[in-house]
Amino acid sequence: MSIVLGMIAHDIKSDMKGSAQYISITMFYVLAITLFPLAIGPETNMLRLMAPGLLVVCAVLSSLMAQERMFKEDLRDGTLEMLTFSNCPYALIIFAKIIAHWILTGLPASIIAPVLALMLDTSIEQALIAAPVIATLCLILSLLGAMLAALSLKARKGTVLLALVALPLYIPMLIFSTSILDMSATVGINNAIAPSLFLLSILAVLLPMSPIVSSILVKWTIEE
Amino acid sequence: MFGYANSLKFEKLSKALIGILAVASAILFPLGLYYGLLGSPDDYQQSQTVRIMYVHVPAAWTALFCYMSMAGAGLMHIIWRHTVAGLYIRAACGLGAGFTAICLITGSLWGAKMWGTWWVWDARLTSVLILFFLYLGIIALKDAFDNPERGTTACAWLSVIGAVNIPIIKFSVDWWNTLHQPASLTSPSKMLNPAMTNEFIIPLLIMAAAYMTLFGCLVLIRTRTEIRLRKEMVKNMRSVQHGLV
Amino acid sequence: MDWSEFIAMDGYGLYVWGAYGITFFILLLMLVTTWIGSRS
Repeated sequence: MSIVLGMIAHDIKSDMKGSAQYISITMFYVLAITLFPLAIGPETNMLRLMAPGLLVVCAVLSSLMAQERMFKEDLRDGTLEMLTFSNCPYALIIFAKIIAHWILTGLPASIIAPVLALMLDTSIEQALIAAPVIATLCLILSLLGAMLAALSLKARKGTVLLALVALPLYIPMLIFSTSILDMSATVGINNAIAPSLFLLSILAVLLPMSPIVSSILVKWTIEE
Repeated sequence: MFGYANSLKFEKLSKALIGILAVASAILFPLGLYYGLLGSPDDYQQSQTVRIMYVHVPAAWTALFCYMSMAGAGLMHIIWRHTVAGLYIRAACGLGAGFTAICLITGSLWGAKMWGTWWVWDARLTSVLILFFLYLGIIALKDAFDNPERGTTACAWLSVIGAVNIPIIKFSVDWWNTLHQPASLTSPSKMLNPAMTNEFIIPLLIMAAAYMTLFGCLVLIRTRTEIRLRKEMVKNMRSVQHGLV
Repeated sequence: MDWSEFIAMDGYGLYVWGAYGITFFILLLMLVTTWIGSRS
């Protein structure tokens, strides 16, 4: 357990030390959302209707941009390979990496999401619900994306390929997250149980499955 | 199944099957077309456009069947290192994308006149659109590695991951569709799913059989091509090795 | 059924024949690419 925490702390620290790449992902989220009122016009009725979709889609795109960085650095400097020799099960190590990745990308995005929601003229209730929804969504995307990132780790044109492969698989999460935000505006959060349960059940399945599958895939990639 | 990991056995079996499937397909297509275009009535609501159903729906079934077969082959490749299964995935993905494209384009034409738009966001078409993107992902991943073997294994994994996702995708799209359905009598979903009586079902099934036999025939030919390509690649590698040593 | 009626398909002729045409075009494409692949 302490190994996992140690790994998470290490990953976070090493990113903060570096060129603060992950902050830029949150900035991308903010900028992407800002583009829409500028492009479509500031009419608040329209923005309020589009807000759930915008918040979720931009979160998906930001997550996609960050996804490739999950393993690339450590592959390049050989850390991934060295970690296979540790006593800790490799799946736990990958799990730590995924959580660290989420803390650096999904969590800041979910903290800023209510602010962005208010900018899109949603109700306060909807804005507050945006935070946990985006947080859960980004965790799911980090988990699913880890498997796909491991798969395309040594492919040519990795980033674009990852986007092409990942986006169809992200669509259910997108549908459910948007529905939660949408329903909380129309029928109130208490009646938005169905999509919340779907989202949480996807999370429950991915939480164990992704580290295990990702560790198998990373090992397969390393053993070239 | 595992005897056919050895490509020699597969090549013997596939030779026989290709002939049978080709003949079956050549018989079923004209039969299905006759029943679809001439031997069946038109729909009271949609008149003659319902005939598009006979090329649209079987394409969806075949595309889904193709993906599931790729997922099964993927499992065999990952778990048991079944070589021919891996090559089957390379062979099938292009065909699957083709059937998906047929389904999308015919679906668009089916809904176009009725709705005045060129695309209808109904549950089946949207699910098939996502399936199309899944196929494109596999096709892109297939040749994205320097070593083709790694590409095959990567596609095997992606097929399995995608197949696990497909029920979830279908469910979420159906659910999304019911959420955003304008409650009208002539909603897209109702239109693209006409009431089925025997006169409609028989041509549909014949065309489905025609599509499947054609798919089977073509995928076997393509798998043989992939096997041959792989053998040549291995031979080239060995000759380079020998040349160096 | 009358031949001209058959072609017109109640006014939807373009869509129905367009759909069948595209279908067979793509099926032909599949056949041709498979054949070329097995030749090369």
